[in-house]
Amino acid sequence: MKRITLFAAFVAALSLAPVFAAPDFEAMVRKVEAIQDFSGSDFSGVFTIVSEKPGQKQSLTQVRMFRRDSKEQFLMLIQRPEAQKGQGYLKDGDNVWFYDPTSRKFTHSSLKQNLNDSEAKNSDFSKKSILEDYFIEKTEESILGKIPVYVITLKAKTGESSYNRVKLFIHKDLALILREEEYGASGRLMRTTAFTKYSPVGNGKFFPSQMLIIDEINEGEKSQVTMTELSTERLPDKVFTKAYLEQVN
Amino acid sequence: MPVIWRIAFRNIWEHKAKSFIIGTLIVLGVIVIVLGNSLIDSAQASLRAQFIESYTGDAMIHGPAEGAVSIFGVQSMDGEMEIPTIPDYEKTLALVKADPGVAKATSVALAYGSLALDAEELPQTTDEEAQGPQAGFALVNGVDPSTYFDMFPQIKLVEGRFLASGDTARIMVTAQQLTGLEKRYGRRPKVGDKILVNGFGTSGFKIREVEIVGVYTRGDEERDQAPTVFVDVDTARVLGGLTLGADEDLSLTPEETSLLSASGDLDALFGGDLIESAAVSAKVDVSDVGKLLGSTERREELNKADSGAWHFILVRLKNSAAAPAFIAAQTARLAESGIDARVVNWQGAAGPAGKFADIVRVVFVVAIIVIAVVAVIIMMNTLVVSVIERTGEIGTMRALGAQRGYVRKMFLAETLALTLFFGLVGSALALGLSALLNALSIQATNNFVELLFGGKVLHLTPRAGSFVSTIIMVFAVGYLAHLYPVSVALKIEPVRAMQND
Repeated sequence: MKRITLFAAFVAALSLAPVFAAPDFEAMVRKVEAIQDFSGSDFSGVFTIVSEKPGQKQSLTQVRMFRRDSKEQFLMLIQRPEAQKGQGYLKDGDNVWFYDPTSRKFTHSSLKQNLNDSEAKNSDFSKKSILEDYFIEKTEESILGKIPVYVITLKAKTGESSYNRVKLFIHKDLALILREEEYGASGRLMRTTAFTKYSPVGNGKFFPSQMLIIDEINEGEKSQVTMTELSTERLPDKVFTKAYLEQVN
Repeated sequence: MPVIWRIAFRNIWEHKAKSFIIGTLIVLGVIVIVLGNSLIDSAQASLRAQFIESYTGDAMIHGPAEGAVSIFGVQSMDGEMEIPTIPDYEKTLALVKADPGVAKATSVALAYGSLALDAEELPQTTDEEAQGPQAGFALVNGVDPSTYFDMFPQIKLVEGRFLASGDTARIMVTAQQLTGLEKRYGRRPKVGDKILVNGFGTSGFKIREVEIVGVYTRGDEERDQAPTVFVDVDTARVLGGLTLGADEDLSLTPEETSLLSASGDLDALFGGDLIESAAVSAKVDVSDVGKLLGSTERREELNKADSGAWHFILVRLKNSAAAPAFIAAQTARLAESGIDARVVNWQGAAGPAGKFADIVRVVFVVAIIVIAVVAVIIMMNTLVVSVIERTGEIGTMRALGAQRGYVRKMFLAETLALTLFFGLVGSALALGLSALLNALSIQATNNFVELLFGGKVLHLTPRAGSFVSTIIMVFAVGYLAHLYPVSVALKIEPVRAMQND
């Protein structure tokens, strides 16, 4: 009888283990990144950025973005304001062209050359996991609005990272970042980003479709980014050409 | 000669070592101050002449801004680049021209940009100078050609012609700028060729193709390294964002600003549905290129230059010395007319570059004060020793009826005689040294030294006022230094002093 009781207790403990064990937060961070990783497919969408500064009227930039990360290509076409409509940036590897439709001229610059004068390297712009630069310092649970979240505090491994600490508020069930806080070396909050809407773009991937970025240093400075017409459908190769920029104008 | 002066000279002579130490200090002090002041005066005079004759005129009128405005733009801590335009330009210009002291006036619209050639891509180059993004940076000055080049005659043509009224999409560059383009693109553009100017103004990037009409120089290679180019004003206006589209109505939808108008509570933003499918489109039709942008008709209109927009009015006066009076009068006139514009002198218009001589002078004055304090301490020490040596003599004089005031005067006379004599010796040596340095024709080895010399060769012309002020300062130092020793001397009891003798 005693043996049966012990066995029952052992089975019960085993079955309860997943409930009490702490989640693997490193895996969670990787999952969060994987959900928003489009490096294997093309991506397109319309980004609308409205910015506010105290004492100034709102400013607007709306761009249509075509991206093919596998070939380091993108084409960015400005749709609004009207005065800049049709201007575009084309990146193909290290080459970047800017097109102005009012003069029908391109200017070219090389990413490699532009980096020559700075401490930056091309690798700084390539996609890498946040866990390469930061380690998990603290985890806790909280509620954002009515949504239960994990709060993961990441601490920079070296002094070279953009921020000393990053706090991620991650949806418990969906593994989506709902809020991100970035702190400087002094512990001061520098920037807060709220990801208020996500769109499912297939294959279990999500793209943030509405967010608010608050500059915590300059009070009153904030931007809303709204993304529409999001797609991960394959794009024709001709999109990533100078000729295409000229044609759309 | 009054007896007090005879005693003073006798003491100076009798205490040769002490007099020599103090005298040497005074001579060195005078030389340093006179030559230093002369150097800074030369730098300031040369800088002033350079800026007034080549860049700023005697005064500049500009629009209202939070930061300081110069011919290089706005100095701002938060990266604000927008240069204010002159409000009610025509009326402002009329007010300036109505001033009888004004000899010439011209207007400028400024844009920031970079020079480039219409090339498929940059050729591979190993020349590091040509590779950097700074290689083509340009201060794009949109000028009124009918008045600008007349006001700044130091700008001379090397090739081609000056800009002319009615020119559109034309540019004047320096030979150095052409060399920069040659290094970057492997071919040298010439007069008549077209180049690109990429403007980065507050309303985004713009590219304009312009034809080189002339190559200009300001007289020497150093000055031609400045990134200034001259274009017709409408080109500068478009590149700098002074267009009809600058005040475009953005027609924002409520969805585009819903988060901005929400209250400060971020948690409240997560009340609705987190996942939305409406933003997703199954297929993007990239082949119907016309549909992507829609109508672009308004774009052309919005990119037209705002023909009344100018950033600065530069003024040359008949008498440059009358600039402060002109600035005061013009400021009052603008205020009376309800025009919110500012008037600054050449230094204001030159920005930080114009304050170079002032900064050097402040550093120099601080150094002189430190040296003066050290000199006071050394002189005081020397005088105290001298007083102790003369304890018996002072005691005897006091015993014979010399009042405290007499002893005080005696020391003052001695200090005055010392400072005056050695001050004059120092002045003579400073004059001789400056003549010697001028004769040596010392060349400036770099830009900083050239700025300090006020030219390529060191040329010192000490001012008479500098000698007078230096001798007064040296006397003040001597006076301060003698106060403590005198108080020591006056504490001596005549009887005890005589016993010591």
